Amino acid sequence: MGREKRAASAMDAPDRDPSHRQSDGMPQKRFYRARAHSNPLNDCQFPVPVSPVEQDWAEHFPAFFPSDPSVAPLADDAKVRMVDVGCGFGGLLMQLSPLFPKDLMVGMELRDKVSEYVKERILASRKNHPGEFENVSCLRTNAMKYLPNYFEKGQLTKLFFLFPDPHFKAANHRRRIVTRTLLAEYAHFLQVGGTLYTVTDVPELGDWMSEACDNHPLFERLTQEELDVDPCIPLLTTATEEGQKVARNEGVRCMNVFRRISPEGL
Amino acid sequence: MPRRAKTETAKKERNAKQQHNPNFQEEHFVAPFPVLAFHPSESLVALAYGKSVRICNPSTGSLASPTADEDKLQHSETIRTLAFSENGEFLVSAGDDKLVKVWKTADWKCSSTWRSPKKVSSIAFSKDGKWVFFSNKFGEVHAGTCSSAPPPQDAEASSTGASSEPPLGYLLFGHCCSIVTDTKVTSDGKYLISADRDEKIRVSKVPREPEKGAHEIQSYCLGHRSFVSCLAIPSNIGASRLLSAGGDGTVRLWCPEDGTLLDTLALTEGARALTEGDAEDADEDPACSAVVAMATGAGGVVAVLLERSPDVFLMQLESVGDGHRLVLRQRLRCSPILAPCSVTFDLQQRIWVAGLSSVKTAEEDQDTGSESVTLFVASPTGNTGAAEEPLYKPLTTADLSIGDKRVLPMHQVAQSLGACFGSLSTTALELEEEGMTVGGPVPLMGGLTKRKISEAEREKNKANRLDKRMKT
Repeated sequence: MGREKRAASAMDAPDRDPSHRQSDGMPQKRFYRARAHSNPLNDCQFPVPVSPVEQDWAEHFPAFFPSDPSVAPLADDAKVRMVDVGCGFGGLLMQLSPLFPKDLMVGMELRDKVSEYVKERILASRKNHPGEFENVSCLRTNAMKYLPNYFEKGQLTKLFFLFPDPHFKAANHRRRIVTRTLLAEYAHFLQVGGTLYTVTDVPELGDWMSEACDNHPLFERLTQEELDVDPCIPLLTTATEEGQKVARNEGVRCMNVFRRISPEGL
Repeated sequence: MPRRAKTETAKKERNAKQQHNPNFQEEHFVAPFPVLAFHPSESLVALAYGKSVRICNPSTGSLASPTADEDKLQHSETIRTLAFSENGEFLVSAGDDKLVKVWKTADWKCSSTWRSPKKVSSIAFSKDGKWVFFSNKFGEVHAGTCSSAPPPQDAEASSTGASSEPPLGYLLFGHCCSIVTDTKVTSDGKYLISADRDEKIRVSKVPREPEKGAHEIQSYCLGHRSFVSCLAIPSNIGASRLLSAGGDGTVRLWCPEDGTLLDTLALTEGARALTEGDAEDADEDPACSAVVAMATGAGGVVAVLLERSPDVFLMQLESVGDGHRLVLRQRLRCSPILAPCSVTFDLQQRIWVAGLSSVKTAEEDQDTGSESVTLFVASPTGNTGAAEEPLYKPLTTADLSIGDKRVLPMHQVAQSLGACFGSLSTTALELEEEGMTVGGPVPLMGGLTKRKISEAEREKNKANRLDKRMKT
C-alpha cells in the first residue's frame, strides 16, 4: 500500500515533467527507484543473445559502429573491454568513460528499472556533451548466468564488482557474485593481465571475496605499488552512489584487487 | 481488502497457477525411468530401473547385480545415470539418493562410494578411469576417485565420530544455478564437457589434480535455443568432436576446442520429411519435441530418442570435404515401447533401446494401466553407403547373435533382462500406491523447460510502472 501511495504522490508532483526528465534531459532517479535486491537465481524473462556473435553492439555504441559507411568509427575493431557487474545507477561508468575513451565499457544490471535509468542517463549525457560518453552503455542482464552469451574468451581487461549484494544467510551464499565457481568464469573472460576489482563495505563479504580470489589459482593480488598507480582505484569508492553513502556514514571499505594470471601445470 | 485476505488469495492463485503450468509436473522429478549402459569391451549390458541395477551377458543370458557390503549403502532412491569406465574396470551408478557408487566389474563389489550435496544428474569417467566426475541439479560438478582409497577428510570425520556418511566429492566447478543435464569427457581425455538447462555447453580442461578443482575453461558451445539435454562424443572421426541435443529438437556438431558450431540438424523438420512417404505415421508430429537420449556408434551413426515419440531416429556423420555433416537416415519404431528413455550401442553395433511399455492383460489384450520395462534391439543391415537403404532393422525371433557357440536369441536376452524388472514393476506399483505417478510420457524434460513470456506480455506487465507510465 505504502509503495502505491508513494508512487501516486510522485505522479501528482506539481513540478513533474511529462518526459520525466530534468531540464538538462537527465532522467530523474525517483521515477526509477527499485528494490535494492533482486534474486539472481530466477529464470530470466528478458531477451539474451544466443551467443556473442548475435549480440548487436552497434545499438549500444553507435559512434563506434556507424550504420553510415561514410562515417568513420571512433576506433577500429572496438570491443567491450570493461564490465561493471551490478552497475546500479551507473556512477562508475560515467567517470570511467573519459579515462578510457577508446575502450568500450558496459554496466550489467539485473533490475530493469535501474538499467533503464542508466540507459537514459547515458543518452542524455551524450546529448549534453557531444562526442563524450560514446563508449559506455548498459545491459539488463544476469551476469552470474549470461556472461558467455555476451563475451568471448579473454575479451575483457577490467571487471568491477562494487558493493555487491552481501547475501548474509548461509543458504544464500551461492547467490553471491564472487564465488569460487564463478571466478573460473571471470578468469575465462578476463585476458591474462586483466584486473578484477572488488569493493564492499561489509567486512564479512570482503573477507569472503578476498579469500575466494586468494585461493583461486588464476588470480593474484595486486601489490600496494601497483594499486597506487592504477587510475581506477580512486573512483572505486567515490564514483558510485553506494560508495558516496559509505563515505558519508564513515563506513569501512574493503577493497581487494586481483590480476588474472596464467600459471603452468593446472 | 485486508492484507491477510489478499496474501491468501495470492497464495491460492499461485497454487492454481502451478497446477496449470505444464512445466510444473512433480512426477517428472519422481518417476523412475530405465537407464542402459554397455560395457566398452565385453559383452555386458547394465540396466537400471528404480533402485536396482541388473547386469546381463547377452551371450550367455547370465544375470548379475551389484552388491554392497552394507545394506544401508545400497541405493535408496531412483537411479538416474549409469556408466562404464572406458577401460571397463568400473560401473558407476547414481541418482536421486545423492550417492555415487562405483562398482568393480570383476566381482560387482562396491569399490568406492561418494556423496553429492544434491541429486546427481549425470556421470562421466576420466580417460584413465581413475576418476569419476558427477554433476548435480544445483549445477555443480564434483570428482571422486574410483579405487577404494579413502580421502583424508573422511578419516578426520570418522576419527571424530561425526558420521559414517560417504565423503563428499571434490568440487570441480559449477554452472551457476542451473541444472547440469549431461557430462562427457572427450575422446582425447583433455576436456570435461558439461551441458546445462540454460542452453550452455561448457568445455573445461580436465585438471591434473582434480581434488584441487577445475579452474580453466576452454570454451563455451553456444547455439541451442532451449535446454541442452544430452551430449555424445562421436568416435573414430579423426578430430575431437562433440554432439549435443536438446529441448529445441536439434542435434548439433561442435568443435569443443574453440566452441564453433559445425553443423545443425533440426530433427523435427527431418522427421517430417522421413514420414512423408509413410501415411500411417503422418498424424504424429514430433514438432518441438525435446531430445531425450542420444548415443553414438561406429561409422558415425547416431541414435536419438525424442520426447513423445515411440521411434528411434538414426543419423549419420558424413564426411564433406575436410569436415562432417549430419544426415538423418532412418526412423525406426521401437515397438512395443511407448516411451523410449535410454539408448546405447553394443559391441556388435546393435542398438539397444530401453523404455516403458504398457502391460497388457493376457486374455483380452487390454491395457492394465501399469507399465513395464521393455527392451528393443535393432541390428545393422550392413548398408553404409546407399542413402536410401535402411541402416538398421529390428531384431526378430529369427535373429541370433552369430560367432559365439553359446548364443541366445537376442529377443530372449532382452526379455529376460526386462523381466528382471518384472519384479520391479511391483516397485512401480508401490510407488503408485504412495501417490507417485509412474511412467508417464517421458521423464526429466518437464522440469527443464522454462516458462516463456512473450515480448508483448512483458511490455504489458511493465505498463503500470512509474517510469513507463510517465513516458507515454
